[in-house]
Amino acid sequence: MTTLLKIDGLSKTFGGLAAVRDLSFELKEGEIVGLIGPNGAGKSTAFNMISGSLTPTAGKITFAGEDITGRKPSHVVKHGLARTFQSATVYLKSTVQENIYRGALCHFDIPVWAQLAQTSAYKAARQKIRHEVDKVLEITGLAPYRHEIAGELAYGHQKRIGVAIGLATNPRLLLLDEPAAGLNPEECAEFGRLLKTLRDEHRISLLFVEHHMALVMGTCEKIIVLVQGQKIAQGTAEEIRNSPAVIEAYLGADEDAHA
Amino acid sequence: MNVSTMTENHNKGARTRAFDQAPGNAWKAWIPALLVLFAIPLLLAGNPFYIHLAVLICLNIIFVNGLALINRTGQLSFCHAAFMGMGAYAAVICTVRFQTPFLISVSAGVAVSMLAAYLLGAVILRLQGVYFVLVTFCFGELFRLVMLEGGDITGGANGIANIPPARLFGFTFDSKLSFYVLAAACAFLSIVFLIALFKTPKGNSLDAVGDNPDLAEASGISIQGSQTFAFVLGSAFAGFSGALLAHYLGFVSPESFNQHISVAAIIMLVIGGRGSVLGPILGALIMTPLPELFRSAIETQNIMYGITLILVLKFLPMGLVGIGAKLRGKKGQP
Repeated sequence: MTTLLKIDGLSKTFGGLAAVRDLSFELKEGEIVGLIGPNGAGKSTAFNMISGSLTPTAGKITFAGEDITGRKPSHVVKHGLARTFQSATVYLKSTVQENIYRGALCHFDIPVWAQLAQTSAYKAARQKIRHEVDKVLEITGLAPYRHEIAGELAYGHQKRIGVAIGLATNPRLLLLDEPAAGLNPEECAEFGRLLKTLRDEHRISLLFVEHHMALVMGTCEKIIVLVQGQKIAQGTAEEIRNSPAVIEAYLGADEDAHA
Repeated sequence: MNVSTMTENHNKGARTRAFDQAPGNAWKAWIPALLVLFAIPLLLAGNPFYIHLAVLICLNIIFVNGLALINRTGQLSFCHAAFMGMGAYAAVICTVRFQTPFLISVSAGVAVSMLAAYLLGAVILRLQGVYFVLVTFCFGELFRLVMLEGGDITGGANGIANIPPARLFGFTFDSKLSFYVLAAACAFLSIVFLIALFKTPKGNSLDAVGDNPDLAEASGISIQGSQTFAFVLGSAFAGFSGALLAHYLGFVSPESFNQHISVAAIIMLVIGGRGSVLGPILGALIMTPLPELFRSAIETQNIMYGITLILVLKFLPMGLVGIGAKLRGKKGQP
Protein backbone atom coordinates (compact mmCIF):
# COMPACT_ATOMS: atom_id res chain seq x y z
CA MET A 1 0.00 0.00 0.00
CA THR A 2 1.23 3.47 -0.86
CA THR A 3 1.56 6.30 1.61
CA LEU A 4 -1.34 8.75 1.26
CA LEU A 5 -0.65 11.22 4.02
CA LYS A 6 2.75 11.97 5.49
CA ILE A 7 3.15 14.26 8.47
CA ASP A 8 6.71 15.32 9.15
CA GLY A 9 7.85 17.25 12.23
CA LEU A 10 4.58 19.18 12.50
CA SER A 11 4.56 21.86 15.23
CA LYS A 12 2.26 24.67 16.26
CA THR A 13 2.84 27.25 18.97
CA PHE A 14 0.30 29.81 20.17
CA GLY A 15 2.37 32.53 21.84
CA GLY A 16 4.45 30.59 24.35
CA LEU A 17 2.26 27.50 24.29
CA ALA A 18 3.38 24.58 22.16
CA ALA A 19 0.07 22.94 21.20
CA VAL A 20 1.69 20.36 18.94
CA ARG A 21 5.37 19.46 19.04
CA ASP A 22 7.26 17.62 16.33
CA LEU A 23 4.44 15.30 15.30
CA SER A 24 5.26 12.76 12.60
CA PHE A 25 3.21 9.88 11.27
CA GLU A 26 2.09 8.26 8.05
CA LEU A 27 -1.23 7.06 6.76
CA LYS A 28 -1.35 4.45 4.03
CA GLU A 29 -4.02 4.19 1.36
CA GLY A 30 -7.04 2.34 2.75
CA GLU A 31 -6.10 2.67 6.41
CA ILE A 32 -8.32 3.78 9.27
CA VAL A 33 -6.23 5.73 11.75
CA GLY A 34 -7.36 7.12 15.10
CA LEU A 35 -5.81 10.08 16.88
CA ILE A 36 -6.52 9.95 20.60
CA GLY A 37 -5.34 11.71 23.73
CA PRO A 38 -6.62 13.54 26.79
CA ASN A 39 -8.26 16.97 26.54
CA GLY A 40 -5.81 19.65 25.46
CA ALA A 41 -3.40 17.15 23.94
CA GLY A 42 -3.34 19.02 20.63
CA LYS A 43 -5.52 16.61 18.64
CA SER A 44 -7.76 19.28 17.20
CA THR A 45 -4.82 21.57 16.48
CA ALA A 46 -3.09 18.79 14.54
CA PHE A 47 -6.37 18.09 12.77
CA ASN A 48 -6.86 21.74 11.81
CA MET A 49 -3.33 21.98 10.46
CA ILE A 50 -3.80 18.93 8.26
CA SER A 51 -7.10 20.20 6.87
CA GLY A 52 -5.65 23.67 6.27
CA SER A 53 -7.62 25.75 8.80
CA LEU A 54 -4.43 26.48 10.74
CA THR A 55 -0.97 27.18 9.36
CA PRO A 56 1.76 25.12 11.08
CA THR A 57 4.65 26.88 12.80
CA ALA A 58 6.99 24.20 11.48
CA GLY A 59 6.85 20.89 9.68
CA LYS A 60 5.56 19.51 6.44
CA ILE A 61 2.32 17.84 5.35
CA THR A 62 2.40 15.75 2.19
CA PHE A 63 -0.80 14.39 0.71
CA ALA A 64 -0.79 12.06 -2.28
CA GLY A 65 2.74 13.17 -3.10
CA GLU A 66 1.99 16.89 -2.95
CA ASP A 67 3.12 19.35 -0.32
CA ILE A 68 -0.09 20.88 1.09
CA THR A 69 1.47 22.65 4.09
CA GLY A 70 -0.29 25.95 4.76
CA ARG A 71 -2.75 25.57 1.89
CA LYS A 72 -6.32 26.77 2.40
CA PRO A 73 -9.02 24.17 3.17
CA SER A 74 -10.80 24.88 -0.12
CA HIS A 75 -7.57 24.02 -1.94
CA VAL A 76 -6.77 20.93 0.13
CA VAL A 77 -10.25 19.47 -0.31
CA LYS A 78 -9.96 19.69 -4.10
CA HIS A 79 -6.96 17.36 -3.85
CA GLY A 80 -9.09 14.76 -2.10
CA LEU A 81 -8.61 15.52 1.59
CA ALA A 82 -11.97 16.39 3.15
CA ARG A 83 -12.89 17.02 6.77
CA THR A 84 -15.93 17.09 9.03
CA PHE A 85 -16.44 19.28 12.07
CA GLN A 86 -16.65 18.42 15.74
CA SER A 87 -20.13 19.77 16.30
CA ALA A 88 -22.73 18.96 13.69
CA THR A 89 -21.89 21.54 11.04
CA VAL A 90 -24.45 21.69 8.27
CA TYR A 91 -26.34 24.32 6.28
CA LEU A 92 -29.20 24.49 8.77
CA LYS A 93 -31.76 26.17 6.53
CA SER A 94 -31.24 23.98 3.48
CA THR A 95 -32.63 20.55 2.72
CA VAL A 96 -30.50 17.46 3.21
CA GLN A 97 -29.95 17.00 -0.51
CA GLU A 98 -29.02 20.67 -0.92
CA ASN A 99 -26.44 20.28 1.83
CA ILE A 100 -24.88 17.40 -0.06
CA TYR A 101 -25.23 19.24 -3.37
CA ARG A 102 -23.16 22.10 -1.99
CA GLY A 103 -20.46 19.63 -1.04
CA ALA A 104 -20.58 18.12 -4.52
CA LEU A 105 -19.95 21.58 -6.02
CA CYS A 106 -16.32 21.11 -4.92
CA HIS A 107 -15.21 19.86 -8.33
CA PHE A 108 -17.69 21.89 -10.35
CA ASP A 109 -15.55 24.14 -12.51
CA ILE A 110 -17.94 25.34 -15.21
CA PRO A 111 -17.51 29.14 -15.51
CA VAL A 112 -20.37 31.39 -14.36
CA TRP A 113 -21.23 32.66 -17.83
CA ALA A 114 -21.66 29.08 -19.05
CA GLN A 115 -23.92 28.36 -16.07
CA LEU A 116 -26.05 31.39 -16.90
CA ALA A 117 -26.12 30.53 -20.58
CA GLN A 118 -27.11 26.92 -19.73
CA THR A 119 -24.56 25.41 -22.12
CA SER A 120 -24.70 21.69 -22.79
CA ALA A 121 -21.42 21.16 -20.90
CA TYR A 122 -23.05 22.81 -17.89
CA LYS A 123 -26.18 20.67 -18.14
CA ALA A 124 -24.08 17.50 -18.36
CA ALA A 125 -21.99 18.53 -15.34
CA ARG A 126 -25.14 19.36 -13.39
CA GLN A 127 -26.61 15.97 -14.21
CA LYS A 128 -23.41 14.31 -13.02
CA ILE A 129 -23.65 16.19 -9.73
CA ARG A 130 -27.24 15.06 -9.23
CA HIS A 131 -26.10 11.45 -9.61
CA GLU A 132 -23.31 12.00 -7.11
CA VAL A 133 -25.76 13.49 -4.62
CA ASP A 134 -28.05 10.47 -5.03
CA LYS A 135 -25.11 8.14 -4.51
CA VAL A 136 -24.01 9.89 -1.30
CA LEU A 137 -27.61 9.89 -0.03
CA GLU A 138 -27.70 6.11 -0.51
CA ILE A 139 -24.32 5.43 1.12
CA THR A 140 -25.08 7.49 4.21
CA GLY A 141 -28.64 6.22 4.53
CA LEU A 142 -30.01 9.74 4.29
CA ALA A 143 -32.16 9.11 1.23
CA PRO A 144 -35.46 9.03 3.20
CA TYR A 145 -34.68 12.50 4.60
CA ARG A 146 -33.54 14.16 1.39
CA HIS A 147 -36.27 16.81 1.35
CA GLU A 148 -36.14 17.57 5.09
CA ILE A 149 -34.61 20.82 6.36
CA ALA A 150 -31.26 19.88 7.92
CA GLY A 151 -31.75 22.10 10.98
CA GLU A 152 -34.98 20.31 11.87
CA LEU A 153 -33.41 16.85 12.01
CA ALA A 154 -31.99 15.06 15.09
CA TYR A 155 -28.39 15.67 16.09
CA GLY A 156 -27.30 12.20 14.99
CA HIS A 157 -28.68 12.82 11.52
CA GLN A 158 -27.01 16.21 11.34
CA LYS A 159 -23.66 14.56 12.11
CA ARG A 160 -24.35 12.12 9.31
CA ILE A 161 -25.09 15.03 6.95
CA GLY A 162 -21.73 16.49 7.96
CA VAL A 163 -20.04 13.29 6.81
CA ALA A 164 -22.20 13.22 3.69
CA ILE A 165 -21.06 16.75 2.72
CA GLY A 166 -17.47 15.59 3.14
CA LEU A 167 -18.17 12.48 1.03
CA ALA A 168 -19.76 14.56 -1.70
CA THR A 169 -16.41 16.25 -2.31
CA ASN A 170 -15.23 12.81 -3.48
CA PRO A 171 -12.29 12.47 -1.07
CA ARG A 172 -9.50 9.90 -0.92
CA LEU A 173 -8.99 10.67 2.76
CA LEU A 174 -11.71 11.82 5.12
CA LEU A 175 -10.77 13.53 8.39
CA LEU A 176 -13.42 13.18 11.08
CA ASP A 177 -13.35 15.40 14.16
CA GLU A 178 -14.97 13.49 17.06
CA PRO A 179 -17.66 11.81 14.96
CA ALA A 180 -19.17 10.03 17.99
CA ALA A 181 -19.43 13.05 20.30
CA GLY A 182 -23.03 13.53 21.36
CA LEU A 183 -24.29 10.31 19.81
CA ASN A 184 -26.13 7.63 21.78
CA PRO A 185 -24.63 4.10 21.84
CA GLU A 186 -26.93 2.90 19.09
CA GLU A 187 -26.13 5.82 16.77
CA CYS A 188 -22.48 5.35 17.62
CA ALA A 189 -22.44 1.70 16.57
CA GLU A 190 -24.26 2.63 13.38
CA PHE A 191 -21.65 5.30 12.74
CA GLY A 192 -18.87 2.77 13.20
CA ARG A 193 -20.49 0.55 10.57
CA LEU A 194 -20.77 3.49 8.18
CA LEU A 195 -17.06 4.22 8.58
CA LYS A 196 -16.14 0.60 7.82
CA THR A 197 -18.36 0.68 4.73
CA LEU A 198 -16.67 3.83 3.48
CA ARG A 199 -13.30 2.16 3.62
CA ASP A 200 -14.25 -1.33 2.49
CA GLU A 201 -16.67 -0.48 -0.33
CA HIS A 202 -15.70 3.03 -1.33
CA ARG A 203 -11.93 2.85 -0.74
CA ILE A 204 -11.81 5.99 1.37
CA SER A 205 -9.06 6.22 3.96
CA LEU A 206 -10.04 7.68 7.32
CA LEU A 207 -8.27 9.63 10.02
CA PHE A 208 -10.24 10.53 13.07
CA VAL A 209 -9.93 12.28 16.37
CA GLU A 210 -12.08 10.60 18.99
CA HIS A 211 -12.76 10.26 22.69
CA HIS A 212 -15.05 7.28 22.34
CA MET A 213 -12.64 4.42 23.10
CA ALA A 214 -14.93 1.61 21.95
CA LEU A 215 -15.33 3.22 18.53
CA VAL A 216 -11.59 3.84 18.20
CA MET A 217 -10.52 0.39 19.39
CA GLY A 218 -13.16 -1.31 17.28
CA THR A 219 -12.60 0.59 14.03
CA CYS A 220 -8.98 1.73 13.77
CA GLU A 221 -6.12 -0.34 12.49
CA LYS A 222 -3.60 2.16 13.73
CA ILE A 223 -3.89 4.44 16.74
CA ILE A 224 -1.72 7.43 17.53
CA VAL A 225 -1.69 8.75 21.08
CA LEU A 226 -0.97 12.42 21.70
CA VAL A 227 -0.20 13.82 25.14
CA GLN A 228 0.72 17.46 25.67
CA GLY A 229 1.29 17.98 21.98
CA GLN A 230 3.64 15.03 21.56
CA LYS A 231 3.16 11.57 20.16
CA ILE A 232 3.79 9.08 22.94
CA ALA A 233 2.67 5.89 21.25
CA GLN A 234 1.56 4.42 17.95
CA GLY A 235 0.30 0.98 17.10
CA THR A 236 -2.65 -1.38 16.87
CA ALA A 237 -5.47 -1.32 19.41
CA GLU A 238 -3.84 -4.21 21.27
CA GLU A 239 -0.44 -2.52 21.40
CA ILE A 240 -1.94 0.75 22.61
CA ARG A 241 -3.96 -0.99 25.31
CA ASN A 242 -0.80 -2.58 26.71
CA SER A 243 1.55 0.36 26.20
CA PRO A 244 2.99 1.50 29.58
CA ALA A 245 3.33 5.09 28.32
CA VAL A 246 -0.37 5.26 27.41
CA ILE A 247 -1.50 3.69 30.67
CA GLU A 248 0.65 6.20 32.54
CA ALA A 249 -0.79 9.13 30.58
CA TYR A 250 -4.39 8.06 31.06
CA LEU A 251 -4.34 6.49 34.52
CA GLY A 252 -1.28 8.11 36.11
CA ALA A 253 2.06 6.49 36.97
CA ASP A 254 1.96 3.24 38.88
CA GLU A 255 3.85 4.22 42.00
CA ASP A 256 4.56 0.64 43.01
CA ALA A 257 6.42 0.02 39.79
CA HIS A 258 8.92 2.73 40.64
CA ALA A 259 9.26 1.78 44.27
CA MET B 1 -28.01 50.29 14.76
CA ASN B 2 -27.09 46.80 15.81
CA VAL B 3 -24.59 45.89 13.16
CA SER B 4 -23.57 42.56 14.62
CA THR B 5 -27.15 41.30 14.56
CA MET B 6 -27.35 42.21 10.92
CA THR B 7 -24.17 40.48 9.87
CA GLU B 8 -24.86 37.36 11.89
CA ASN B 9 -28.42 36.96 10.73
CA HIS B 10 -27.62 38.07 7.22
CA ASN B 11 -29.71 35.54 5.48
CA LYS B 12 -31.65 33.65 8.01
CA GLY B 13 -34.33 31.76 6.20
CA ALA B 14 -32.75 32.01 2.78
CA ARG B 15 -34.12 28.65 1.81
CA THR B 16 -32.83 28.47 -1.67
CA ARG B 17 -34.52 25.87 -3.74
CA ALA B 18 -32.16 25.90 -6.68
CA PHE B 19 -31.61 22.19 -6.42
CA ASP B 20 -35.16 21.08 -5.65
CA GLN B 21 -36.87 23.07 -8.32
CA ALA B 22 -37.00 21.99 -11.86
CA PRO B 23 -35.29 24.87 -13.66
CA GLY B 24 -37.62 27.33 -15.29
CA ASN B 25 -40.76 27.04 -13.18
CA ALA B 26 -40.56 30.19 -11.05
CA TRP B 27 -39.78 32.25 -14.15
CA LYS B 28 -43.31 31.90 -15.41
CA ALA B 29 -44.69 33.63 -12.33
CA TRP B 30 -41.92 36.17 -11.88
CA ILE B 31 -41.58 37.70 -15.30
CA PRO B 32 -45.24 38.71 -15.91
CA ALA B 33 -45.55 40.02 -12.33
CA LEU B 34 -42.48 42.20 -12.81
CA LEU B 35 -43.63 43.44 -16.20
CA VAL B 36 -46.98 44.48 -14.72
CA LEU B 37 -45.20 46.22 -11.84
CA PHE B 38 -42.95 48.18 -14.20
CA ALA B 39 -45.90 49.09 -16.45
CA ILE B 40 -47.91 50.75 -13.66
CA PRO B 41 -46.01 54.10 -13.76
CA LEU B 42 -46.81 54.39 -17.47
CA LEU B 43 -50.45 54.83 -16.46
CA LEU B 44 -49.42 57.80 -14.34
CA ALA B 45 -47.45 59.37 -17.17
CA GLY B 46 -49.39 62.62 -16.81
CA ASN B 47 -47.77 63.44 -13.50
CA PRO B 48 -44.01 64.11 -13.86
CA PHE B 49 -43.48 63.80 -10.11
CA TYR B 50 -44.70 60.21 -10.09
CA ILE B 51 -42.52 59.37 -13.07
CA HIS B 52 -39.57 60.97 -11.30
CA LEU B 53 -40.24 58.75 -8.27
CA ALA B 54 -40.58 55.71 -10.51
CA VAL B 55 -37.17 56.42 -12.07
CA LEU B 56 -35.58 56.73 -8.64
CA ILE B 57 -37.23 53.48 -7.52
CA CYS B 58 -35.84 51.67 -10.57
CA LEU B 59 -32.33 53.02 -9.97
CA ASN B 60 -32.57 52.09 -6.30
CA ILE B 61 -33.64 48.55 -7.22
CA ILE B 62 -30.42 48.15 -9.23
CA PHE B 63 -28.41 49.78 -6.43
CA VAL B 64 -29.89 47.65 -3.61
CA ASN B 65 -29.71 44.50 -5.75
CA GLY B 66 -25.94 44.97 -5.72
CA LEU B 67 -25.91 45.30 -1.95
CA ALA B 68 -28.14 42.23 -1.61
CA LEU B 69 -25.72 40.21 -3.73
CA ILE B 70 -22.80 41.18 -1.45
CA ASN B 71 -24.88 40.46 1.63
CA ARG B 72 -25.80 36.97 0.40
CA THR B 73 -22.14 35.98 0.96
CA GLY B 74 -22.32 37.27 4.53
CA GLN B 75 -20.74 40.71 4.22
CA LEU B 76 -22.43 44.05 4.85
CA SER B 77 -20.90 46.89 2.84
CA PHE B 78 -21.20 50.37 4.28
CA CYS B 79 -19.57 52.02 1.27
CA HIS B 80 -22.06 50.99 -1.37
CA ALA B 81 -22.71 54.64 -2.21
CA ALA B 82 -18.99 55.14 -2.86
CA PHE B 83 -19.14 52.57 -5.66
CA MET B 84 -22.27 54.24 -6.98
CA GLY B 85 -20.35 57.51 -6.90
CA MET B 86 -17.35 56.00 -8.63
CA GLY B 87 -19.53 54.75 -11.45
CA ALA B 88 -21.26 58.13 -11.67
CA TYR B 89 -18.10 60.26 -11.62
CA ALA B 90 -16.20 58.00 -14.02
CA ALA B 91 -19.10 57.97 -16.48
CA VAL B 92 -19.70 61.72 -16.20
CA ILE B 93 -16.03 62.58 -16.61
CA CYS B 94 -15.98 60.44 -19.77
CA THR B 95 -19.14 62.09 -21.12
CA VAL B 96 -18.30 65.69 -20.23
CA ARG B 97 -14.52 65.83 -20.66
CA PHE B 98 -14.01 63.29 -23.45
CA GLN B 99 -17.44 63.46 -25.14
CA THR B 100 -17.68 59.67 -25.27
CA PRO B 101 -21.05 58.10 -26.22
CA PHE B 102 -23.39 57.21 -23.35
CA LEU B 103 -22.83 53.46 -23.67
CA ILE B 104 -19.04 53.85 -23.44
CA SER B 105 -19.33 56.22 -20.47
CA VAL B 106 -21.56 53.84 -18.55
CA SER B 107 -19.25 50.91 -19.34
CA ALA B 108 -16.29 52.94 -18.10
CA GLY B 109 -18.18 53.80 -14.90
CA VAL B 110 -19.03 50.16 -14.25
CA ALA B 111 -15.45 49.10 -15.02
CA VAL B 112 -14.00 51.64 -12.58
CA SER B 113 -16.37 50.46 -9.81
CA MET B 114 -15.47 46.84 -10.45
CA LEU B 115 -11.74 47.50 -10.49
CA ALA B 116 -11.91 49.52 -7.26
CA ALA B 117 -14.05 46.82 -5.62
CA TYR B 118 -11.59 44.14 -6.70
CA LEU B 119 -8.59 46.01 -5.29
CA LEU B 120 -10.38 46.97 -2.07
CA GLY B 121 -11.88 43.49 -1.71
CA ALA B 122 -8.50 41.80 -2.06
CA VAL B 123 -7.35 43.71 1.00
CA ILE B 124 -10.42 43.89 3.24
CA LEU B 125 -12.53 40.81 2.46
CA ARG B 126 -10.51 38.75 4.93
CA LEU B 127 -12.18 40.83 7.63
CA GLN B 128 -15.45 39.51 9.00
CA GLY B 129 -18.54 40.99 10.60
CA VAL B 130 -18.23 44.33 12.29
CA TYR B 131 -14.60 44.88 11.22
CA PHE B 132 -15.55 44.71 7.56
CA VAL B 133 -18.42 47.13 8.20
CA LEU B 134 -16.06 49.60 9.90
CA VAL B 135 -13.47 49.55 7.13
CA THR B 136 -16.08 49.98 4.41
CA PHE B 137 -17.56 52.88 6.39
CA CYS B 138 -14.14 54.57 6.40
CA PHE B 139 -13.69 53.88 2.69
CA GLY B 140 -17.02 55.51 1.93
CA GLU B 141 -15.95 58.63 3.79
CA LEU B 142 -12.56 58.58 2.07
CA PHE B 143 -14.24 58.50 -1.34
CA ARG B 144 -16.41 61.51 -0.47
CA LEU B 145 -13.37 63.49 0.72
CA VAL B 146 -11.34 62.61 -2.38
CA MET B 147 -14.19 63.81 -4.62
CA LEU B 148 -14.43 66.96 -2.53
CA GLU B 149 -10.69 67.67 -2.93
CA GLY B 150 -10.57 66.52 -6.53
CA GLY B 151 -10.05 70.03 -7.96
CA ASP B 152 -10.91 70.52 -11.61
CA ILE B 153 -11.33 66.83 -12.29
CA THR B 154 -14.28 66.26 -9.93
CA GLY B 155 -15.37 69.88 -9.57
CA GLY B 156 -14.87 69.79 -5.79
CA ALA B 157 -17.89 70.67 -3.66
CA ASN B 158 -19.70 72.10 -6.68
CA GLY B 159 -19.59 68.77 -8.45
CA ILE B 160 -20.19 68.52 -12.17
CA ALA B 161 -23.30 70.03 -13.72
CA ASN B 162 -24.81 70.21 -17.21
CA ILE B 163 -24.33 66.55 -17.95
CA PRO B 164 -25.93 65.81 -21.31
CA PRO B 165 -28.84 63.32 -21.22
CA ALA B 166 -28.42 59.68 -22.08
CA ARG B 167 -28.31 58.81 -25.79
CA LEU B 168 -28.64 55.30 -27.13
CA PHE B 169 -28.68 54.31 -30.81
CA GLY B 170 -29.61 57.82 -31.88
CA PHE B 171 -32.44 58.22 -29.35
CA THR B 172 -32.10 60.86 -26.63
CA PHE B 173 -33.64 60.07 -23.24
CA ASP B 174 -34.28 63.68 -22.37
CA SER B 175 -37.78 63.39 -20.94
CA LYS B 176 -38.64 61.81 -17.60
CA LEU B 177 -40.91 59.28 -19.25
CA SER B 178 -38.35 58.13 -21.82
CA PHE B 179 -35.72 57.79 -19.12
CA TYR B 180 -38.17 55.79 -17.06
CA VAL B 181 -38.41 53.24 -19.85
CA LEU B 182 -34.62 52.93 -19.89
CA ALA B 183 -34.34 52.70 -16.08
CA ALA B 184 -37.18 50.18 -15.83
CA ALA B 185 -35.59 47.99 -18.50
CA CYS B 186 -32.27 48.07 -16.64
CA ALA B 187 -33.92 47.33 -13.26
CA PHE B 188 -35.87 44.49 -14.83
CA LEU B 189 -32.70 43.01 -16.32
CA SER B 190 -30.84 43.31 -13.03
CA ILE B 191 -33.63 41.40 -11.25
CA VAL B 192 -33.75 38.70 -13.93
CA PHE B 193 -29.97 38.41 -13.74
CA LEU B 194 -30.08 37.83 -9.98
CA ILE B 195 -32.89 35.27 -10.26
CA ALA B 196 -30.88 33.43 -12.91
CA LEU B 197 -27.64 33.67 -10.93
CA PHE B 198 -29.15 32.22 -7.76
CA LYS B 199 -30.47 29.28 -9.75
CA THR B 200 -26.99 28.27 -10.84
CA PRO B 201 -24.46 26.31 -8.80
CA LYS B 202 -22.41 29.51 -8.56
CA GLY B 203 -25.32 31.25 -6.85
CA ASN B 204 -25.78 28.27 -4.59
CA SER B 205 -22.12 28.39 -3.57
CA LEU B 206 -22.47 32.12 -2.76
CA ASP B 207 -25.38 31.24 -0.47
CA ALA B 208 -23.31 28.43 1.06
CA VAL B 209 -20.60 30.94 2.01
CA GLY B 210 -23.24 33.23 3.52
CA ASP B 211 -24.88 30.39 5.49
CA ASN B 212 -21.77 28.76 6.90
CA PRO B 213 -18.39 30.08 5.69
CA ASP B 214 -16.24 27.49 7.48
CA LEU B 215 -18.21 24.58 6.12
CA ALA B 216 -18.19 26.06 2.61
CA GLU B 217 -14.43 26.55 2.75
CA ALA B 218 -13.92 22.99 4.05
CA SER B 219 -15.97 21.56 1.21
CA GLY B 220 -14.11 23.32 -1.55
CA ILE B 221 -15.97 26.64 -1.94
CA SER B 222 -13.42 29.40 -1.39
CA ILE B 223 -14.71 32.11 0.97
CA GLN B 224 -12.35 34.71 -0.45
CA GLY B 225 -13.19 33.79 -4.03
CA SER B 226 -16.96 33.85 -3.49
CA GLN B 227 -16.95 37.08 -1.52
CA THR B 228 -14.68 38.79 -4.04
CA PHE B 229 -17.00 37.70 -6.85
CA ALA B 230 -20.06 39.06 -5.02
CA PHE B 231 -18.31 42.27 -3.95
CA VAL B 232 -17.07 43.06 -7.47
CA LEU B 233 -20.38 42.19 -9.13
CA GLY B 234 -22.45 43.96 -6.45
CA SER B 235 -20.30 47.07 -6.79
CA ALA B 236 -20.74 46.90 -10.56
CA PHE B 237 -24.51 47.15 -9.97
CA ALA B 238 -23.88 50.20 -7.78
CA GLY B 239 -21.62 51.81 -10.38
CA PHE B 240 -24.17 51.14 -13.10
CA SER B 241 -27.01 52.74 -11.13
CA GLY B 242 -24.73 55.72 -10.38
CA ALA B 243 -23.87 56.24 -14.03
CA LEU B 244 -27.58 56.16 -14.93
CA LEU B 245 -28.51 58.51 -12.07
CA ALA B 246 -25.90 61.08 -13.09
CA HIS B 247 -27.17 61.17 -16.67
CA TYR B 248 -30.74 61.39 -15.43
CA LEU B 249 -30.25 64.25 -12.95
CA GLY B 250 -27.60 65.97 -15.07
CA PHE B 251 -25.62 66.74 -11.96
CA VAL B 252 -23.24 64.98 -9.52
CA SER B 253 -21.63 66.19 -6.30
CA PRO B 254 -19.78 64.42 -3.48
CA GLU B 255 -22.85 64.75 -1.27
CA SER B 256 -24.92 62.70 -3.74
CA PHE B 257 -22.90 59.68 -2.62
CA ASN B 258 -22.30 60.21 1.09
CA GLN B 259 -22.85 57.78 3.96
CA HIS B 260 -26.57 58.60 4.13
CA ILE B 261 -26.99 56.95 0.75
CA SER B 262 -25.12 53.84 1.89
CA VAL B 263 -27.27 53.70 5.01
CA ALA B 264 -30.41 54.22 2.94
CA ALA B 265 -29.45 51.22 0.80
CA ILE B 266 -28.97 49.09 3.90
CA ILE B 267 -32.34 50.24 5.27
CA MET B 268 -34.05 49.35 2.00
CA LEU B 269 -32.40 45.94 2.01
CA VAL B 270 -33.23 45.18 5.64
CA ILE B 271 -36.82 46.42 5.43
CA GLY B 272 -37.45 44.67 2.13
CA GLY B 273 -35.75 41.48 3.20
CA ARG B 274 -32.28 40.00 2.91
CA GLY B 275 -31.68 36.68 1.26
CA SER B 276 -34.50 37.01 -1.26
CA VAL B 277 -34.62 38.52 -4.72
CA LEU B 278 -37.93 40.17 -3.82
CA GLY B 279 -36.44 42.02 -0.83
CA PRO B 280 -34.59 44.82 -2.67
CA ILE B 281 -37.63 45.42 -4.91
CA LEU B 282 -39.97 45.82 -1.94
CA GLY B 283 -37.43 47.90 -0.02
CA ALA B 284 -36.82 50.30 -2.90
CA LEU B 285 -40.53 50.50 -3.67
CA ILE B 286 -41.46 51.50 -0.12
CA MET B 287 -38.46 53.48 1.05
CA THR B 288 -37.72 55.57 -2.06
CA PRO B 289 -40.90 57.70 -2.03
CA LEU B 290 -40.81 58.36 1.71
CA PRO B 291 -38.16 61.11 1.79
CA GLU B 292 -39.77 62.73 -1.25
CA LEU B 293 -43.24 62.70 0.30
CA PHE B 294 -42.06 63.93 3.71
CA ARG B 295 -39.69 66.66 2.60
CA SER B 296 -41.18 69.05 5.15
CA ALA B 297 -40.27 66.67 7.98
CA ILE B 298 -36.65 66.30 6.94
CA GLU B 299 -35.37 66.66 10.50
CA THR B 300 -37.49 63.89 11.98
CA GLN B 301 -37.05 61.68 8.92
CA ASN B 302 -33.77 60.11 10.06
CA ILE B 303 -35.26 59.43 13.47
CA MET B 304 -38.14 57.65 11.78
CA TYR B 305 -35.67 55.61 9.72
CA GLY B 306 -33.79 54.56 12.83
CA ILE B 307 -36.96 53.53 14.64
CA THR B 308 -38.25 51.63 11.61
CA LEU B 309 -34.96 49.79 11.25
CA ILE B 310 -34.90 48.76 14.91
CA LEU B 311 -38.52 47.61 14.77
CA VAL B 312 -37.95 45.61 11.60
CA LEU B 313 -34.82 43.94 13.00
CA LYS B 314 -36.66 43.13 16.21
CA PHE B 315 -39.95 41.86 14.83
CA LEU B 316 -39.27 41.07 11.19
CA PRO B 317 -35.64 39.99 10.90
CA MET B 318 -36.39 38.71 7.41
CA GLY B 319 -37.91 42.03 6.36
CA LEU B 320 -41.24 42.45 4.62
CA VAL B 321 -40.54 39.32 2.57
CA GLY B 322 -40.59 37.48 5.90
CA ILE B 323 -44.27 38.32 6.42
CA GLY B 324 -45.26 36.10 3.52
CA ALA B 325 -43.05 33.27 4.77
CA LYS B 326 -44.49 33.65 8.28
CA LEU B 327 -48.06 33.48 7.02
CA ARG B 328 -47.25 30.41 4.93
CA GLY B 329 -45.52 28.81 7.91
CA LYS B 330 -48.56 29.37 10.14
CA LYS B 331 -50.88 27.92 7.55
CA GLY B 332 -48.63 24.88 7.25
CA GLN B 333 -48.87 24.13 10.97
CA PRO B 334 -52.38 23.08 11.94
